[in-house]
Amino acid sequence: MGQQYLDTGWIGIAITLLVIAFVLINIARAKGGKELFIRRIGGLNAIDEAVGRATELGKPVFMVPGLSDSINAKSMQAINIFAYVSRVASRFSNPIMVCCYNASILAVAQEVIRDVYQQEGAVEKYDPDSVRFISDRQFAFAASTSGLILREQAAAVFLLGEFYAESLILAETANSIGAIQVASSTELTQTPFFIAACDYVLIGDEFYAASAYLTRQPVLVGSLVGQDWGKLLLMGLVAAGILANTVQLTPAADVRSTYKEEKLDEARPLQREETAFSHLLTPYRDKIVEDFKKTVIRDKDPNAAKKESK
Amino acid sequence: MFPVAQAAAPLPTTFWADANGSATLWIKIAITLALGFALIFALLVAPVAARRPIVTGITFLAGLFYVLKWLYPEPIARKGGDGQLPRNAAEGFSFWLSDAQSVVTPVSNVIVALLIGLGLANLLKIHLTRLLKAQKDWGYSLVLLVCMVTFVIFGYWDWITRQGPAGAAMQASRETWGFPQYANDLLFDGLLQNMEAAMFSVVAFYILSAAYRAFRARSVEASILLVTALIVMVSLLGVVTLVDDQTIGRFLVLGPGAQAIAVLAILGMAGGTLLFFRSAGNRTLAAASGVGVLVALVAFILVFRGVALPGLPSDPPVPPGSFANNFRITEIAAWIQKNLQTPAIRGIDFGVGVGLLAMGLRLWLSLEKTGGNV
Repeated sequence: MGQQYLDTGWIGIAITLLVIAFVLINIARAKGGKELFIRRIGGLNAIDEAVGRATELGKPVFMVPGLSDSINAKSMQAINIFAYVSRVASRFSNPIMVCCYNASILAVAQEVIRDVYQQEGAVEKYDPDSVRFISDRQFAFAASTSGLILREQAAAVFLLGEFYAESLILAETANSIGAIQVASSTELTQTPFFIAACDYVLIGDEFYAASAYLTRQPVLVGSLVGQDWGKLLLMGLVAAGILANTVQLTPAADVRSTYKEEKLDEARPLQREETAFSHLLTPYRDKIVEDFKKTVIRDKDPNAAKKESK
Repeated sequence: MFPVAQAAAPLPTTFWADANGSATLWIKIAITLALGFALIFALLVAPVAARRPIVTGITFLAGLFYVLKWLYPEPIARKGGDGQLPRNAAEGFSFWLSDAQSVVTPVSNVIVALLIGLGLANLLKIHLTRLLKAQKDWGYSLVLLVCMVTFVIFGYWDWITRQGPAGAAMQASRETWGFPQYANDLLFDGLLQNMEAAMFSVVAFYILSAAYRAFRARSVEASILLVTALIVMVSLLGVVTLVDDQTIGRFLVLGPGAQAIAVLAILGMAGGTLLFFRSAGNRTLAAASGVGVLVALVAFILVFRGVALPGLPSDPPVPPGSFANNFRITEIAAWIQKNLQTPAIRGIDFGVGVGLLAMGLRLWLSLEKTGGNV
């Protein structure tokens, strides 16, 4: 395309496309009837237990699909899990409550939960007010949802999706009334709070594995196995990266400190002393290394610049 | 620097860049609105089976735009709006993608804005019903509705009076403020923000209670968590850093007697703390373990501060390059964070990234049945 296009390197795009291929291949395999294995996930086994306990106590099941600013993949995943929870709850005629931070999430959640009740032949048990919009202000939402959990004396609380500083307010409130809690935050900074305060926590990609684990739909199971293949690929790359960095001669930190964006237009000749893997990961490295070496020589030898000009 | 064709006067470079207020722009807006309403109407009247392909198609097109935006090479140093023209079709497509982003992205904002009404309607329905039927906790609903109406009235009143040149003056000085500005300021800055700050500050107390539960040594994993968390937390204390930087690295250069006392003191503190948490209401045991921890702490400080105890030689200073410096608590904490915490978080990040990618792919290609069948 010419020099004026920003070349961001092809390795990232290649890995992404490879992971996408893994997912699609495994979806095809699963649809073709292939039995694919999924390991046991403790937090997800606890869902039935939590709903069962709520039924025994005759108290509602609370669900919060995170504080996403609008409907996105994270909130959709949370709603998918809540669809399963609602399905189990509808079978036991257990009351539910979904607290939404955002109106777009409310619209989707209402639709999905109503569909679930319809599929279970229990439309009359569906209460439209059970899926409700609370507030789109973070701490107003936290205060209101905590109040609802306390007043309604929830027996089971599911906190799944994007959570920030309010995570602990919600989790500790539920803990204070002895509710069984299953939680997961896509924000890693909040996961430790959930681990400290909740009974079961889905960490990292377990959250995305949940719908496959619970529903065993071929598309979801295939996608999950594809993700695992992708993770294996990344693990291999990490191992290769460790090796490449271990045998690398030039200190990477020093090279990075000489990185100059205006140099990107220039040609990037291959340097023989550089390892192939290092070149793949940092396409600009060779030019930078060359500049770096020159700078070091110039700094150490005041006459180097004169010698270069001669 | 870059060879590009320059036009004499600014020209619309793509479909999206029409002059503000021009007839073409208005026609495009009208056509888009008509298409939007037609689409909504089509979705309403279409049989359920026919809706899916429509929704699938729109989802695919919307996703395709961002996929292309990410994958297609992007021109650098392109100055938008100065009449710069693409050199060929490939570059033209890149320009089109770049210009279209400012139009495509707000589409989701428009849809979300429409949905705010839905949220408002949901709130009103629930709370008005509760209020009118005097159901349980109707008082809370009354407070909510009164607050909602008050905030809307004063928010808009303030906004309307700030339109035009008066707004700039109000921004510059409070002397020109009227009743709506003061009322709005009281409601939003005086009440709402402070209440939110108060709610946020509650988190500090919750952290304490959650940490207490998490750090109980109930299992091997919890004990490891307890020890590592204590090291990291203690390393952040100013007083510990002060003591540590001066003395803790001295352990390896201490005399054997002082080393023995230091080890006993550390074991005493750890054992005393465990006993304290496991005393389970036994006050004598709790008091004894508390006193034990204190005694061990005093012995530890005496040894490490280099106080010459009777019969023991005082410890020599640590040379700056000594291996013993690795045993400073700040060094240990930094090692834990760099070599244990960061790789673990990276690993989780990889998993989350791949999961999100697969989820996004399923949604984009409409492979997933929302809700799922069991």
